[in-house]
Amino acid sequence: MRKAGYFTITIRLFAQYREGRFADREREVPDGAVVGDVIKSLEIDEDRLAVGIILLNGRHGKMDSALEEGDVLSLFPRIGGG
Amino acid sequence: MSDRIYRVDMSNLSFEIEDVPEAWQGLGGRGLTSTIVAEEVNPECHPLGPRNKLVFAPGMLSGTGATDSGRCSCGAKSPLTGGIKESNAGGTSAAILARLGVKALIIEGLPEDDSTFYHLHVTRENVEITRVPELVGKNNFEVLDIMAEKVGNKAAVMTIGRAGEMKMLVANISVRDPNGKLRSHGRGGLGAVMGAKKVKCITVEAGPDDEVSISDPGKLKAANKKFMHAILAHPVAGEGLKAFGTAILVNILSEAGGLPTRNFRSGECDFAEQISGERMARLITEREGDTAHGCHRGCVIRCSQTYNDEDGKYVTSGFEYETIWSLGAHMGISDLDMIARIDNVMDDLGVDSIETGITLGLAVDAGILDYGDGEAALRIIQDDLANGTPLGRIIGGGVGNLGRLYGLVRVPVVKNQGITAYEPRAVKGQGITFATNPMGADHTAGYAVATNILGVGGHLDPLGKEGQIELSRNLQISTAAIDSTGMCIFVAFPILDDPECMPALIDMINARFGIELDFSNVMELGKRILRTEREFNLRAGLNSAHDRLPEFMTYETLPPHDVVWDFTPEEIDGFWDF
Repeated sequence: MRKAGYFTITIRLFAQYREGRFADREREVPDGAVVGDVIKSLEIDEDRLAVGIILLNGRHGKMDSALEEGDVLSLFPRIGGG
Repeated sequence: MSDRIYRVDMSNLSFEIEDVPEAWQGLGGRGLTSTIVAEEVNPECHPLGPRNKLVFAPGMLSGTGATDSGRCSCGAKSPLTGGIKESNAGGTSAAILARLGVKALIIEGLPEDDSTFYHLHVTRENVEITRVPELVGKNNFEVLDIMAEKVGNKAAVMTIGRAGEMKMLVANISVRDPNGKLRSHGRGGLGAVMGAKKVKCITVEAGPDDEVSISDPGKLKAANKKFMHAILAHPVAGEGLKAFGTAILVNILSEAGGLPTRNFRSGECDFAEQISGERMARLITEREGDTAHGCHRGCVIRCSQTYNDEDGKYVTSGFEYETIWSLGAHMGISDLDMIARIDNVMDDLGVDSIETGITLGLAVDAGILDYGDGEAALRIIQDDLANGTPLGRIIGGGVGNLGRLYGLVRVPVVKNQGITAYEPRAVKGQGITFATNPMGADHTAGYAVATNILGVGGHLDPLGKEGQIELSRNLQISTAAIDSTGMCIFVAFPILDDPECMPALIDMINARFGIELDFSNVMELGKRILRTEREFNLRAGLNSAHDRLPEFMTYETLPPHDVVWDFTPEEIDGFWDF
């Protein structure tokens, strides 16, 4: 059952962000949470490996993008290939 | 030593060494191959006939010690697209050609006696042309071994496998890399052009005293230091690529809805994780392979890798995103080990792993094999393609031809070359590059994925149209210039983000030749190359109507973002307003 004042999102982490964390997990976040709050809670070291790409439900998001129940948030450091 | 043009005429098995015409002097790599092809090849000629020419040219900075400068360009009229082609590869050829002072190696004509193949051995002021009936029917790895015996391990080797001998449109030209494995001039069927000229392999040997002439070595060294620093300080070029390889793109493209799946029916793949760069890196580490090595000496990006099987035995190297995508999400193989095995067989046979993989994916729609059936794909390559059976010839004819033969409509090609690994409807800037580039659908030619998806060089909404034509134009112009320097295209990542990087690159060019180019001169060079290539294509019969994505993309909606390709023809044609 959902905790009062919280909602559930799915967080997916990629590349180096998985180290010591996870690849894919559901997490409860407090009402009003934005993307930046989740990043903070993951203790991502922005000096060492800044967030490069934020995808919210498959679309590019920002630090202040608001989250909703059922959202899928994918976080990547700067990556590239080709 | 000063640069010269080495010209081999296969019609009488002779060679000449010529001074470099003034107009070619400031050129190298793609700028030079495209200029030579445009000047000397009749655009209406048959690509496999006597009037086509095969041109190799090291980049402007190849062999100088400049970081990441070891790419060699190969050009001709493409038998796949019918237009001009440049395909560049790593390996050892660029630096050795440059050290010998070979500004370009031009191979023309067809031998009268076409009953066998020939070996060209290029040394200072000489090209030895010998019949090699013993190499006929041999594949690439065996040719490398034989050449190592014959001319030693230090010579560069460029070779075609059986696919090239059979003049298949998927045939590539393979180049020995510093680890004794292969890199490829992959796209556009250049291996078929070499096969038509009956050249089985080319070796290039420089002596210890053969050095590139550099006008101001001190200036080049100082600029190179800055340039290398900019590459190493960049999170993608300096860290990400060596940790995960290019397959790191699998997950992000799928997450962004831009990973073409099941022959371009969806933009997301439910088994992306299994074929991802993250998983590949983990497997390589567990199996004691190597996650980071360079395709040429002097590379600090080191995106390549050695992939071992479960028993720790070598399976393949240079295992790239586009190949993994084509056999993976596109054709349905979710087993990375199987994709690796097929990749190695394709390298040995000398086929473009991209065009071949996309064709095999389309073969699912044709009913030739089932989605995900890796064993069947391996059989088709090993038994049919390698032996030139009718089915092998069909697959070896590439994506467009298979589509025509089987009456298919969802055929992912532009100018008859397969579209790679980025869904144009969901990564629209890349779609403009696929549509307009003179090479046909070429992902490297103007990598708008960087700005659309990866946040390199800013961000532009991949699903929107705004700004995409300008973005692709700017990238295609700068890429044409970078492809002329011998630089790996991945230097574009730091160039897009770090204002110190491009000036350092230009300083190196100036130091090499004793000239004073500035940024606008370099962009002018890029524009001139694109226009030259476009002009050749127009004369070859490829016009605006060919600067189009496949029609199905304009009316089939792509999940998950439910997007279509919605640029008008007039908007696309505006690309050329520069």
